[in-house]
Amino acid sequence: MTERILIIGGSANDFGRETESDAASYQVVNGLVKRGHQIVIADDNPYGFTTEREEIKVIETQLTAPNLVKVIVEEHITAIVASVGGLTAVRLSAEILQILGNDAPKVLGMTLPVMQAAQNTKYLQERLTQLKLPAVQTRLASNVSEAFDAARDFDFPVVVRSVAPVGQTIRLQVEDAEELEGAAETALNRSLTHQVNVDKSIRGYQEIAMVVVRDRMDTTLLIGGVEDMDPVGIHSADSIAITPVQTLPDPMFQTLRNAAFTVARGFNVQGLLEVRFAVNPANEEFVITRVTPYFDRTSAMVVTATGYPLVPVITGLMVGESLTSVRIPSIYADHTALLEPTMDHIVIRFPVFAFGELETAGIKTENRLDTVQKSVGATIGVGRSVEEALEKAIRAAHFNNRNFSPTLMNALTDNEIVEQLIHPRDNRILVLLEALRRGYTVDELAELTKINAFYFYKLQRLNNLEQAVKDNPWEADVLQQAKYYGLSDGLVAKLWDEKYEAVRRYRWDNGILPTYKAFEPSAGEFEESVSQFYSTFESENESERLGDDSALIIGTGAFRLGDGAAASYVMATVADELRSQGLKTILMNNNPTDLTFIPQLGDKQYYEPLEISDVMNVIEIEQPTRVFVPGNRIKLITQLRKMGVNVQVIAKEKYLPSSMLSEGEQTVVNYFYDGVELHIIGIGHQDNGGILLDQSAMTPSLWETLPRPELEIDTPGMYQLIVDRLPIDGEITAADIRPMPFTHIAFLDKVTGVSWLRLVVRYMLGTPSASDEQLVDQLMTLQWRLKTARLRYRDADFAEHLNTTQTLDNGRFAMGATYQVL
Amino acid sequence: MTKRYLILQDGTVYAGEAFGAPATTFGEIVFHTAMTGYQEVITNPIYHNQIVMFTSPTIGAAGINHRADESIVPTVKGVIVREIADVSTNRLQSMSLHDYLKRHNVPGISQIDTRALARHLRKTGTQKASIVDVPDAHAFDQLRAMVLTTRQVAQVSTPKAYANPGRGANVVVLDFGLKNGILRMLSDFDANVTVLPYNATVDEVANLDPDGIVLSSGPGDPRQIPDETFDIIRQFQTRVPLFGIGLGHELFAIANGATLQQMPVEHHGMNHPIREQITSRIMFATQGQGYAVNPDSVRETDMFVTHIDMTDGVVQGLRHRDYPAFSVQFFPDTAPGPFEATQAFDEFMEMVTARRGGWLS
Repeated sequence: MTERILIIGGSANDFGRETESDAASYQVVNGLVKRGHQIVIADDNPYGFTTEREEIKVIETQLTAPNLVKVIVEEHITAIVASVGGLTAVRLSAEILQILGNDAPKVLGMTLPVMQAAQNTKYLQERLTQLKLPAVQTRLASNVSEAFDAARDFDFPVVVRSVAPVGQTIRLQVEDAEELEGAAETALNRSLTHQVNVDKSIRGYQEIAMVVVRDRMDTTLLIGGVEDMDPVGIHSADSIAITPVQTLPDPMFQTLRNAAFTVARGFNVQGLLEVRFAVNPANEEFVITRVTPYFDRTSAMVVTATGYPLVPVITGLMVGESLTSVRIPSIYADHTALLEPTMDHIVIRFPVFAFGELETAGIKTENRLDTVQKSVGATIGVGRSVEEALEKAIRAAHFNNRNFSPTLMNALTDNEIVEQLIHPRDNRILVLLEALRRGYTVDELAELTKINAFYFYKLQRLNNLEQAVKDNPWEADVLQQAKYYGLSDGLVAKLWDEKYEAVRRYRWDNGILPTYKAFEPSAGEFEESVSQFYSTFESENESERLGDDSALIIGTGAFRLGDGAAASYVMATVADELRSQGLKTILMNNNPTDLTFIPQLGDKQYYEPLEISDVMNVIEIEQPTRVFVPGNRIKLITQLRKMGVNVQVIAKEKYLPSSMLSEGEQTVVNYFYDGVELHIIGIGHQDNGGILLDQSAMTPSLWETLPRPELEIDTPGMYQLIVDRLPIDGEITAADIRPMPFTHIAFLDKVTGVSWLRLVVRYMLGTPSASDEQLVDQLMTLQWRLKTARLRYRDADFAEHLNTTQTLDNGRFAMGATYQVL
Repeated sequence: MTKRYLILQDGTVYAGEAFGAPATTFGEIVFHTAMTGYQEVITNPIYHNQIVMFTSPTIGAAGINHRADESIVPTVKGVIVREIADVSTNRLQSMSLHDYLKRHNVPGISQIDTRALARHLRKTGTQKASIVDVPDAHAFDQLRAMVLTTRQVAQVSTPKAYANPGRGANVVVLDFGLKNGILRMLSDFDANVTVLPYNATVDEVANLDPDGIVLSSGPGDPRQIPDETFDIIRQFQTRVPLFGIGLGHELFAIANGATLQQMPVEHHGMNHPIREQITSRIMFATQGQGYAVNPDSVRETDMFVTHIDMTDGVVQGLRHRDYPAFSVQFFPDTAPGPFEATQAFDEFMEMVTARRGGWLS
């Protein structure tokens, strides 16, 4: 039966919500359209990539349950997909079910209980108890004496939380009876109902996530497990995460796998479920802390890591296919959907923090890590050892970060080291390495940090390797070991106090060359023709040159504060258009949530850091005709050009500190540059709240008077002129014209209904069509898809996540935005 | 750090780093794709005389733990990994995987391109291999001259009977190579177990008046088993619940007229979907097999296929049409491996209990 399916988008990007749901959504649309279903997507995210697709209907509305109910009625929706819009979509779906009752469309693959359990820990605990699975023990107390009763039952330490708190949620960790009285009183006083929850503390437990799928026949399989290096007490997104699980003995691992199956079964999930555990390393007791029935960073990581076609499989399961019959892309073997993936490589996700950027901008934050997420993005490193994966992840995360330098560690006193071991900060890994260097033993550190000793042995090896490299310049054997464990040419060059090019040449001369290995779910047991690769330095290389006339597209890496989602949109669009123009595309990136890793956008993907050495290694194998690099990677662009590579820059403005915080509006003139002259698209306004695009602000006379200075470049692109007011005072020269920010490009696409980047790509390739040229000649008469629309930056969560008190420059720092058709 | 070499019968050489014992070793090489349970694998008697290569890149991170022993000492002739971890979780002394293998004179080799090796073995099939100090012509001559024993079962089986007492049903286990997991599972049911050597006679079994018989998991070639074993199976299956596991499954198949075939690519891992035919239920279990029951040959017998491996259709379970006798090719004792496979023990013990009559159990 043909369904008319509403996909609920995730709205603005934010902490914990990058582009993983958009990337999944794109593939879900593919699968559903192929099966003959009709798709309606409701979203108000101006950086949405899926919403640019032509086969679907997009409803641009603020995401509230009443709005969506209206959409459901007007569009005759018969089913809802809630698993590719983050927690927002799950929350909204639950509200819709409650509003519409029996008249509600079915939510594919999800039951109301699992939606509630995803949002409400108390409810999750009740359900888990029914399933005879362990949940965090918690008890309600209305006075100090009841709090004492609970604490005595659970044993200290406990956590005291206010019920219905006045203002921000508080969680007080209580170590003993002496502390309890004060904490209970504080928490009781902060509660509107004068009640507190006393929880048994699980701080110091090890965090493990299991990602499982289940079909309507109750076939259930484990896709992957992820282990956090840091214990409970540090938000999971802020911890280094590793897959496959390294340190659990098999019986414990199987216990968690089985418990995850029981949860999926108990909630009658048909599709994806991630179950998060906290395991007490002392006695192997565990509790379930969270269930996630939608795509998030962990499932994105597991998809990347295993090579399992998770999104195509889930799409089939949601519409009632079984794991034995689900249709998956033909590149996979028939039985792949049913195979529990097994890995022969290690994937490490490494958090990226923005404290440094904020500090540079004069904004004070607290950089201690706790139970609230502080990281703004993450990279992954892939290798055949933990050392290699970790080195590559760190390199990908900190390609250019002054706040992440080992030399800073020398300045720390021993007391500061201990303090930071106990209260971790954003530079956690450096402190751990430094502590080892200063002679702390593995056992001491494991005890102090609750990090498994296994990781300290690995860090110790990295320390030893760096030292060996430093002590043995131009020693091929040492270099070979350094490369084997993931050290970059750049790092070796630094340790040898040499130039990168010299190290690279020496490496070549000694035959120390990268080998690329495929991501596939059977660890080499079955032949799978996959196109995802990572590098290592071993004997067999599996990646052959794709062929003549290929384009290498470098992604933007980890999200940082600001335009991560827009940048992802931009590079994904470029890749898609290059492929439409008949080029073979090779994507290179290290952000597992990124849109550039949508399988349909590339003929081949490399999951690699983006330092010059990593990029050059891929270029040597692939010999692409063109290399596309986002404009913010200035150092990389310069180095690549120096190596004689044909680089095409997808521009981004170098951030200009603006006066927007204090002043009112600025006027923005948007241009398309065809490589010869600037063509005016239209004008808009921006302030610290967002961007307004309004076609009616343009008049024929204004059109005539706007400046079109001559640019001394021959690469097509998108450009902008920012002025305080119209008419413009003084003369405008080429120096006043700046590349258009990614956020503006994405929004301009949405509003005008023209995909400007695709146009830029066609002009870059010299393949504009007659209608392209006509469009560019007649931009004045172009009818915009939306006459007037406003983009609003979303900034509310900064205070909660980063404890900032100052107003932020949103044009620079906002992580997400919504837009509204006016 | 000492350089050592893994050499294969077909002339392939891999250089790596030595760990474990510095001995030279020979054996058949197999690759195992499980990501957990390395200690269970290297102590599993089915890998007796074999060199096991793990595709999972880090081995040893959970230390060495007595609960993970499938026999008292390691059974393998060598261990091949990409990375070995130095973790020890023992309280009295350092006991990392390296220490453990060294103590038991088992050599290992790390820093091997195990992915390349797995892809190679997938094409060539199982072959002889050796871990040596120098990969010269002499080493290859020795490797090629080496004759693999066919007496593995005799070598690993207990020489004399012993008891593993419990208060429940009286179960006889025939030891063709017995992993601890099987006894552990039977202990969960409080079975009163007697383990008999592989060459036990019909009389010896009958004297124990068993409520049930388990044919254990083996190593090696099922065609090397004494004829009397097949008599035991044929005589007792008509009267006593009988449960074959691994090699025991293959023996059950042969005793009832089916034939075996050697597999081009062996199964060693825990990620293959296995379908129970009658319910269509799909489960996962640890596998370790180089032989498989020929499904065509089953049609001519009084058995039927109960389980198949969905990746290649290989038979994973058999049941007798007339008697309370069945067998599984995979390891249902979950040591290591997924829990859902233990259902086979539940079924067996149900049969055993039914035979004993309700009140005793």
